[in-house]
Amino acid sequence: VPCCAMLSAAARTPQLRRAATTALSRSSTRVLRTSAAPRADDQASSTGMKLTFTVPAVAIYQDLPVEMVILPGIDGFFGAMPSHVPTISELKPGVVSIQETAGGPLTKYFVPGGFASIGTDSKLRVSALEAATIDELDVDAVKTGLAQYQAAYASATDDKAKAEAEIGVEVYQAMSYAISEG
Amino acid sequence: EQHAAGKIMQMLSLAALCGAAAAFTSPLAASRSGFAGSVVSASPAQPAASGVVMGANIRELRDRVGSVKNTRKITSAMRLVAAAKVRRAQEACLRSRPFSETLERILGGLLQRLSTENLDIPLLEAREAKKVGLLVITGDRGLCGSYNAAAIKKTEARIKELTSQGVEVELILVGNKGGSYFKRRDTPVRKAVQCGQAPTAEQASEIASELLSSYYAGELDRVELIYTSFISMISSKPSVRTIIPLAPQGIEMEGDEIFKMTTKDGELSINREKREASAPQEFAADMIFEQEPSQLLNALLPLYLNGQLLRTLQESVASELASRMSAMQSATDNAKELQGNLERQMNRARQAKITQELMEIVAGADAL
Repeated sequence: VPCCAMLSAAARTPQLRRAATTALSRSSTRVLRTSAAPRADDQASSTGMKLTFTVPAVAIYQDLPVEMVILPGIDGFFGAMPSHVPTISELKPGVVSIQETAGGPLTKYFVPGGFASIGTDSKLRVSALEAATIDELDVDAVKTGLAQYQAAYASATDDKAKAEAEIGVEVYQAMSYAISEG
Repeated sequence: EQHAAGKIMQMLSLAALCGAAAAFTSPLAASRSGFAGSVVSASPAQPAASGVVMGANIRELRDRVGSVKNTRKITSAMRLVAAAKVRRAQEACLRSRPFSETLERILGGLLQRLSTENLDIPLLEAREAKKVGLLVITGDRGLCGSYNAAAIKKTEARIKELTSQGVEVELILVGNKGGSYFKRRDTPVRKAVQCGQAPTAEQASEIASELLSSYYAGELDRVELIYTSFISMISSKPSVRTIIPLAPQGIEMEGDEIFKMTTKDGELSINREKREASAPQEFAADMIFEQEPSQLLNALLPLYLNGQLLRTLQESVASELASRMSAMQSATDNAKELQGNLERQMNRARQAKITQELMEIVAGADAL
């Protein structure tokens, strides 16, 4: 299982001096799902919500009708459903859960941060630098990383080092939470 | 056989009567007294003195033809490999479009909404440039025509321009060719990485992090991008573009150009297609902004920059491959021509040798 260690590259506060780097590639291939795939509940999607979930290299979802998506907004998790009021929000490191059919299973992706916007046309656009399924997160690597950044936070001497360590702790905590949630 | 020999002897005596010995420069003819030598036409560049030297000449030419044939095979194979890779590179370019399109839309919408407000967004503010970073994209390997040379030349010109304005310049180099060139030159190099044949988001991230952190820290006041964009099979153009700070009005919303490999007259060729920039997303009046607009923008712009960088890297790689295709095509054509010329020379030399041997036989028979 390829392990994934990611740190958010977005500078959320002006005091942040150095954006953390992302590391490692994953060997699994992304499935590009488009609305071209025949689906039984296409008729319902006239008022439905279409999801476009992109990372720089590829579009994981392109205009696919979905039932509900739970997003890790900075100010808290929120769910997006059809006819959601237009919203724009930054995302914190956490899990994006996608439910394609009503009452169906949730497909989960961990993102190190990103952006979500719901337009008046009921289109949900999620952008992130990286996205990994929960299976791709290596439990041991996450444990080590978390311990490492917690130690760095405790021993940090200046603001910059503290801020970097803080980001690391936040991301690794989110990853370990995501793994424990399943 | 006797008749043939007799006929030739008749010709010889006739030619001797004509007495055009002076016209023929070959020492061969000098010892044969007056044979006009029109049979051994050849080119004056074949001064074969004796049978042994003639043989060596032919052997040399044969070796040369062999080596040119090999070269031709190699360049032809390189061209086909580059052609296959261009297709893949193109597909990668197309796959990464949705990310950039989405962000362009949101960014456009946000900027439209917030254009009147006074926001503190470093990435949008142009500041006085005391130190400029040049991000130069070259390839890792050669044999791609003028691709690397053009980018390097453009960079040198830009460095000169900036230093003449009293601005300090630092280089961020992508690609071994650029790296090795500028390593031993005066301008300081901040970072040098490989380009690779398939740019990844991680690579783009690494470069973007370096640029952003330098910019936020005030170590660089502006970052300009120098890369070669592909125009057609026979021309490509190095261009300079400012990527940091992003100008609020023209946030690089120019249309996108993608190029497609097609066949024309049975030959591989490349077409460019222009695509319009994506329209800014319409933001409803009751749109909820979960965070402060300036915070949103500050978070959005680095993402956008990442996407732009990846796309530029992919385009550059595709340009390099197209240049290599074109260069190897020319090389193959030249090799074909050279091979033809050498083979012609070799045949002429071979024929001269045969004629010479014939004449020796005839003369020998004559002497009996």
